[in-house]
Amino acid sequence: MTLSAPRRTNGQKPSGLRFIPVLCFAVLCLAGSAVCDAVETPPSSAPVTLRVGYVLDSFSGVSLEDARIAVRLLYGARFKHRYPQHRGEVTLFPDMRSAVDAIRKKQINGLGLSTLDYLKTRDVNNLVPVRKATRGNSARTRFVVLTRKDPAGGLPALRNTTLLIEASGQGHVASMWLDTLLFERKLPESRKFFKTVETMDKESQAAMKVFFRKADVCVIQKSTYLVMNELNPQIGEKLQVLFESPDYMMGLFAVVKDIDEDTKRVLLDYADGLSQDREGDRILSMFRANGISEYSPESIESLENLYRTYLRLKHGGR
Amino acid sequence: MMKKWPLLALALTCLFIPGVSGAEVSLSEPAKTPAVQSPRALDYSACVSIAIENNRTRTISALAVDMAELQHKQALSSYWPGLMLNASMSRFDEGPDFIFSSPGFNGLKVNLMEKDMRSASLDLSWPLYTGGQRSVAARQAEIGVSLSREDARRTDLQMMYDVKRMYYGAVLARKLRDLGREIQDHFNALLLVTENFYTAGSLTVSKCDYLSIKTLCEGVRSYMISLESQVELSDAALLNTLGIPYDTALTVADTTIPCEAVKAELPALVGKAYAFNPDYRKADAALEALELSIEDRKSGYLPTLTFAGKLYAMGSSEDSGLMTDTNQNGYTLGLYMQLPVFSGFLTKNRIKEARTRLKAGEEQKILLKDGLAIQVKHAFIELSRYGREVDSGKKAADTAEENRQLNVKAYDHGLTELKNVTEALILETFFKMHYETARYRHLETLARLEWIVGRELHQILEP
Repeated sequence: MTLSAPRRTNGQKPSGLRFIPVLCFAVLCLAGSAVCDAVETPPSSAPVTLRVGYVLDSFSGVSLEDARIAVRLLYGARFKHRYPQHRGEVTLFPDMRSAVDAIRKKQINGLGLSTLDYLKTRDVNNLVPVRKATRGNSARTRFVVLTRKDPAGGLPALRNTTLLIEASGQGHVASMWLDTLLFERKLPESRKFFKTVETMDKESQAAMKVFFRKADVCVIQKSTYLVMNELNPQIGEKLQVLFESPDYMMGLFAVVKDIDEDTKRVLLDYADGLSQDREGDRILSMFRANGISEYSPESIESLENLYRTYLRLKHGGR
Repeated sequence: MMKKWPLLALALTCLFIPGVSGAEVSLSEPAKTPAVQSPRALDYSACVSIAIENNRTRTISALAVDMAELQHKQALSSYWPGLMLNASMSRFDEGPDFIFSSPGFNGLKVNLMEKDMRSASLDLSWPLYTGGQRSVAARQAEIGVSLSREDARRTDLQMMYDVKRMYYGAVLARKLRDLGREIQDHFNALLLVTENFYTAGSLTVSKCDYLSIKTLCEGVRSYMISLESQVELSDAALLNTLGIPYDTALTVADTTIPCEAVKAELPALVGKAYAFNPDYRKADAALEALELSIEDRKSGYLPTLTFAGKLYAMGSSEDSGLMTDTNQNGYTLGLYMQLPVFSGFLTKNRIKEARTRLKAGEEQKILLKDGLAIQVKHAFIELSRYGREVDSGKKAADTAEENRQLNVKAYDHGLTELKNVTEALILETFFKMHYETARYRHLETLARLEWIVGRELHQILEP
């Protein structure tokens, strides 16, 4: 699952196809819920109703209306075509608190959410992670702190400079990781350490601003940096990687603990068949993901450690 | 960039159609839907074996060779003496008699033989000298065998050429169809998303976006009909070439079209064509036959000498008259000579006619020689051209693939727009189709060159 969809804040439509952010959101829905078409014959069970929710706060660059359309696409005619005997309903939640509230009221039986949200509410959310989305060969994300090569200097030299970071659920993890780096060096958190902290719609915008000396430091995905470097080798010549994070699994899909087996089976069948279907595979790749894989607890260990360390250091622990 | 898509799609069409029609499908019967059965996968060598087994033209050519060989044996028969056994039994209404009218015999009437008579003889005829006619006829018959063998070789070459064209035409048709399906899948998925966003009233998808994608999608769907049809047609053409029933379910096993560089110089290829081309070899043989016909007609001036003999026996109901012991059994031996003395200038003019025919044949051979060289040169130039097209097409296809992969990666990271990914996909499909078509054309041209030269090049060229 990726949480990197760009956010449009200036109200202008980008040129060309202007629904890319929506598609990005849609892939999150796809990846999270894996509710799309499957070629395999659906499990023959009694009619069930999938009530799936998504935490909108986990995504970026998507209006509520477009998010609804994208999800309706996944749960609409295509879902009915594949699973005529079942029903699919979807709810978008503005934040994790409202999602947890819906779980408590038994309004949903599955939820797509960021790993961080899951960790933050693990004690109360009553969820069991079941799937994660993959992109390329990995479901994980690694961040890098980028600065210009000149003037050289470590993290302390960046005090009172301008930091750029992505404004999304992914940006929250990046920010947490950077704060942890600062805490470990007995420095204040980023908002206090840097003179200015700006959030950007796109990671590439952040890197380019640093490249053109309009900002001093940015935190982006390593894979984005590598692709930018491939597109324009000057990026690699002028920018340097100051720090590199461990791999983090950014998003997952979970079901409520008391979900009935029939509903869960339909849900997982839908998810697992997604990348096996030619059209589903195409849609997945178009939506910046190319597979759905099984969740394992160790896949969130690194983020769990980061979150624990962050909390400990933030509250003055050692 | 959206506005360029239809143009790209049009360009794709231009590539699709000649790409497959390069197979020059020709059918005696319209293509029909094959019977429902699992298709048998055949590789190229299996197809050649089937064609060898089923090709009727090849059978006809083989029979023609047999006939020519038998004609040659007939011609050789004149070197052997001929023996003829004759036997007869006859009855006269009355036995022939003879009247002596000389004085003193007083009209004596003598019976020469009885009414019934039987006779048998063994005749021998052995031409000793025919003025050269006999050796000419034998040599001409021998040339006839060579001609029919060259015809059979031409049939084999044609069959191999046809099988190769049709087989790899079917492979190409499938490759183009699969590439078309790939891009169709992409556009269908894109249309699904666009349509849903547009009809749901999203502000992020305009009607222009939707119509552009829909146009592109429908266009590709239309091209796919052609591509799918080309697969059926190429299969039907292959079945026809292999000589197996039209409703046989088969598929080609190969998924790639071989493309090997040919290291040959044009003069060497032309030389090989003069050595191996069946038509040219037939022309050589025909000229020799014409030269022999002059010799044959010159024999009109020469004598013929034949040795002949006869062993005979005859008998009647009574040994009287002519039926004496001396007359009843015996033999004759003779040497016979014929020498034409004057035939109203027939022989002279026949020789002139034969010489004129020879001259005409020599002119035709020069024409054939020049034409053959031009054919080899044309195929050689095309082979070189397609070889370069394959090389540059490979680079273009690889670059287009790299471009698509990079665009996908860039899109995954929000570094480019979806339209760039789609455009990269169209370009990749276009150049891959172009590359595959170039490979097919290279193979087809190589096969045509081998058909012209008369041998597979790897057999006759130095490694």
